[in-house]
Amino acid sequence: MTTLAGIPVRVVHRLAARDRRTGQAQRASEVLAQIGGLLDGLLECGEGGVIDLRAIEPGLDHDGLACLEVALGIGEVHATVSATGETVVRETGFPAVWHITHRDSSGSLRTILIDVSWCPEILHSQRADAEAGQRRLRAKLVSEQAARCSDGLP
Amino acid sequence: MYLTPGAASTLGERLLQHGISRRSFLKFCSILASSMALPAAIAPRMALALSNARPCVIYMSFQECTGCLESLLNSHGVAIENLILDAISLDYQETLQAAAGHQSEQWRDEVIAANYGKYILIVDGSIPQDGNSGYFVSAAESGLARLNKTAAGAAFIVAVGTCASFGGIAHAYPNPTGAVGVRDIVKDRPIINVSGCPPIAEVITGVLAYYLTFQKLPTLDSLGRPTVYYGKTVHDDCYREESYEDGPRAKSFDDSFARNGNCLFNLGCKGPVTHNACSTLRWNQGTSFPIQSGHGCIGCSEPDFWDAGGLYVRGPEADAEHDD
Amino acid sequence: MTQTIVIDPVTRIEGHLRIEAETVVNADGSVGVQRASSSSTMVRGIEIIMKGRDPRDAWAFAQRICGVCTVVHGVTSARAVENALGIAIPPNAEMIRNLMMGAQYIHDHVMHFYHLHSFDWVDAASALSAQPLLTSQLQTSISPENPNNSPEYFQSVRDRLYNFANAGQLGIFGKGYWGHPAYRLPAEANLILIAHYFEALAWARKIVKLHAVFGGKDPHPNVIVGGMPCAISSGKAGGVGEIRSGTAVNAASLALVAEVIADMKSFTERIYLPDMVLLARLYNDSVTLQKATDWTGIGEGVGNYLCYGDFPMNGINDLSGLMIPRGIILNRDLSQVYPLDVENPEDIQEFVAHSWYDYSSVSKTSGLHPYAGETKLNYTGPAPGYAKLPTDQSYSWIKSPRWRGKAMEVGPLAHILMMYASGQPNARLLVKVAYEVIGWAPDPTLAKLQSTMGRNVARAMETYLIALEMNTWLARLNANIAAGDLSVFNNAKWNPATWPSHARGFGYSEAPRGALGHWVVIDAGKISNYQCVVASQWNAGPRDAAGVEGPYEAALRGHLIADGDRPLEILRTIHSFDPCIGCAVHVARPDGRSSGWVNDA
Repeated sequence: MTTLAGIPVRVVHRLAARDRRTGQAQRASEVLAQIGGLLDGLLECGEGGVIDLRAIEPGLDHDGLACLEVALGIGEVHATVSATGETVVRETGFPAVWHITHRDSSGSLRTILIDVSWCPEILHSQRADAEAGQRRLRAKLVSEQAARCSDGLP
Repeated sequence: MYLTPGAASTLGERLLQHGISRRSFLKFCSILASSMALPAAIAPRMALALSNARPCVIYMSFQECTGCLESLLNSHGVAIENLILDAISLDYQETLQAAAGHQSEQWRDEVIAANYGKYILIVDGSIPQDGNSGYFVSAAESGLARLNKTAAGAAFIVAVGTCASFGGIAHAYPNPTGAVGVRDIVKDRPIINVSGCPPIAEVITGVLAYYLTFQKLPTLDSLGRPTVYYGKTVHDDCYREESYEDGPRAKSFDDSFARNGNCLFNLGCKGPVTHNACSTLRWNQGTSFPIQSGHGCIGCSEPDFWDAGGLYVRGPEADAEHDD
Repeated sequence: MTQTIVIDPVTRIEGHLRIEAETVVNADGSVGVQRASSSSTMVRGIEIIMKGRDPRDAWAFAQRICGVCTVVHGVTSARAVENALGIAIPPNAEMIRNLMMGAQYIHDHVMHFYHLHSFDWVDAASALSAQPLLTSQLQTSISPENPNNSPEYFQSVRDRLYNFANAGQLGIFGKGYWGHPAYRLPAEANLILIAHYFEALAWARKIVKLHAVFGGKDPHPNVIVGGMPCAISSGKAGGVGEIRSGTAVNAASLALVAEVIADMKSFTERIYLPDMVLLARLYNDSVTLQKATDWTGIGEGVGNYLCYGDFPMNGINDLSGLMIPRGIILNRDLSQVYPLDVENPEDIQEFVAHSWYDYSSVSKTSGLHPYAGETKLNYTGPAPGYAKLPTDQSYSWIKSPRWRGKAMEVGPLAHILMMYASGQPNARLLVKVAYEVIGWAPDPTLAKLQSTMGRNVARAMETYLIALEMNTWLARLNANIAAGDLSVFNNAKWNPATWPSHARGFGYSEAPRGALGHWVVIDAGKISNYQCVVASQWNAGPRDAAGVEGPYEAALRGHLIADGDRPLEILRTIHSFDPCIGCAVHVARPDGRSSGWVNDA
């Protein structure tokens, strides 16, 4: 028997609040399924993926995002990256499923990503930064050495 | 100190010199990809391409009011969206540069020669079509001649603002100086129209970053505007959309409905027919946008919006079905 | 024998300007400017474009005259229409307009000093040899409250500059006049000012958020005839920028405005004012030590000053409530402020004798009051490729405004002198303090202020005075709101059916660059005439029919030029006026029959 609830309707006008929330919970489920697919890919072929939660269509609103976060849960790792504004990286309750929030230096939220990988790229040290750091460290060692010499120390 | 301009150093090198870590840059690319609706996984590739880019930018001004440059500058600073601006060398820009007169002309010509075929030309202001009219002369050259000369060696051109894109206010009826946009004069270089009076700064930034990453123009609409920013109307994502549909709309500025944040369509808002990112990106790092501050959209990213009938005259209604 | 120095384009201004300076060799071998001509070489015709349109739209068109002093034309235009139709705006709207105009001043003055003018005083190449420790000590001594003062900080700025130079990324520093003998600052002072150049850019983007809150965006925020369109939010309180309902003006954004004002005041106190004192003092010292040009004794201009007045507390028609008073000062005499009658056809007139315009109702050598203004665009200049302009004939798109035949300077110097001469206690005190701190001998005639260097000091003082006043306006706005008055817009005369068949009005303001006036005539509900007489027009205009020079032209007389190929001295004085040439090109009323109206905006 077909019920009204079973008819696929694309709603153009705003829904009543309750219906909207129901729709969002459904959408969050769909995204969760998508995440599951990426996790399968990571484990089977080594290839996960990234979902931009602010760019998906149809979108997730405030309620939908909350639904998804509850479903994903909280894991063992929580990291804060201070790089031109704060970025929070946390592993969800599902290992290798990471939740990343990028804010800019005025604190405004810029994007929310779900990164399915062994470790998000942003946590890795970057080669160019390490090379620049190497130059700084060498310069520091040289100047400390020079200071010791001028102090008459070995 | 008279150094000769050479080929520009890489963006990555410059960022490190500015104290911007590669990690920050990676973050910037994630955010940029998100704002341009590119696949999120593209960020590392973008970071690599951008860090090897050698952006050299020549910025030419014609019948401008300088609002477009102010918009760009108003976003300057060590913030995530400004990494491109920090690292791009504005090698010629009359409002900012130290040199004047013949030194500034010489400097620009040397920069162009050293980067011929590779530099980005940014243009603001409209240009009088008749080079002998005297309506725009600088360094004793007509605007027309200056545009053609600087466009010839550009990799591509960004027409910033509605004046450079479509003629803007000088072009409005009766167009006393015969002003037109860049695309009416330059026919043999790729042109991206970043329209708006002025455009949102991050739109300009995003366009530059896209080109530097992919070495091609983003998808453009029929008016040459990047669809990622101009594909939707201001109405599409307007937070007042509910009262547009269901009422009550504001009947007067500052009435109780206006104070409640209800739709301004009856007060002349042109949001339904104006393509821009004002409702989503919003203005001045997300502080507000015209409708949020109580005035309807005036349509400033559309050609000939000044002649669209009047700021407070009702504009066309939104379609039930939009082009997606 | 004269040789003409041509600077075209003059950079680091708004708009397009050309300066021609005829020089002579003096008996002692030095080269001096004998006669100068100021020319704007671009027009748009915005006033012509405004004809026939709804006067309620005028502010948006006028606003696009300039995107640097962006708010001022919009507000002035709204005032002109409000004056014509007899509309009084609510007190909240008056305060919001003051806040927006004030924010514009502070933004523009700081940016002018660092981004447009500082390269005339600061040798960027010299900054490369500054020692970070000494720089830190100098910074701490001039501004103990400024936290960015460590040697490491200045080291990083120096490194950044060094990388610019060596990576071939000279960008805006390319072919500057580095090493010119007219630069007088020690390396450490140069480095401090360069560091602040960068800091000011970051600061500027924060403070324009005030315009975004009330006007929706910056540049070109929205205003409206009848007040302001920014309805105060009755909806649920929201954060700044995150919206579900309501409007942009809520408790959070008003708190942001308070923060922005605090930021403006802090920057001015910690950075801008101390830097100005440093500049004035060190260039002062160099006069005695090195017998260099005294920049407080040159570049005066015409010695006459004009203000319409601005920053009303009790409505625009109450002249006694204006923070910047209306008036005229003549011949540097601060003991007398003459009245200015904006309606009297004999007071303000525009001349086109040396401009590319014709008059058809009077001769080309006559002057016309803006209400009677009539201008035909007529370019009689040379074809492109010219070496010099015919400065004995028409040579500019700017007209020459005059007050009773006299050339007038407008702008921050005029503001400070007018406030001082009118006896305002804050202005008098600040001038006294400035003189003491810089080390100028007390002088009731304020001679040193009336100069190239003085104009900069005046601009900095004005910035501070306005920063202090911003809190008064915000406090009044907040008090009104707390008392239940949320009104920002008066709609009583919004409907054109309520208008008379003929009306005319004058809107005035003081822009960051000086006196701004819009005159509008409305017939049958449409604009039939619209005229602007803009600040930079007063300052940058060419000679009039009687040969009286404009302020830029007069100011350059006598400048000694060390190197004709690098005329830094000329740029120094011209930039001290803060040219805004997009504003200055005048647009006149079209008569509909001629082709080519000059409207400039």
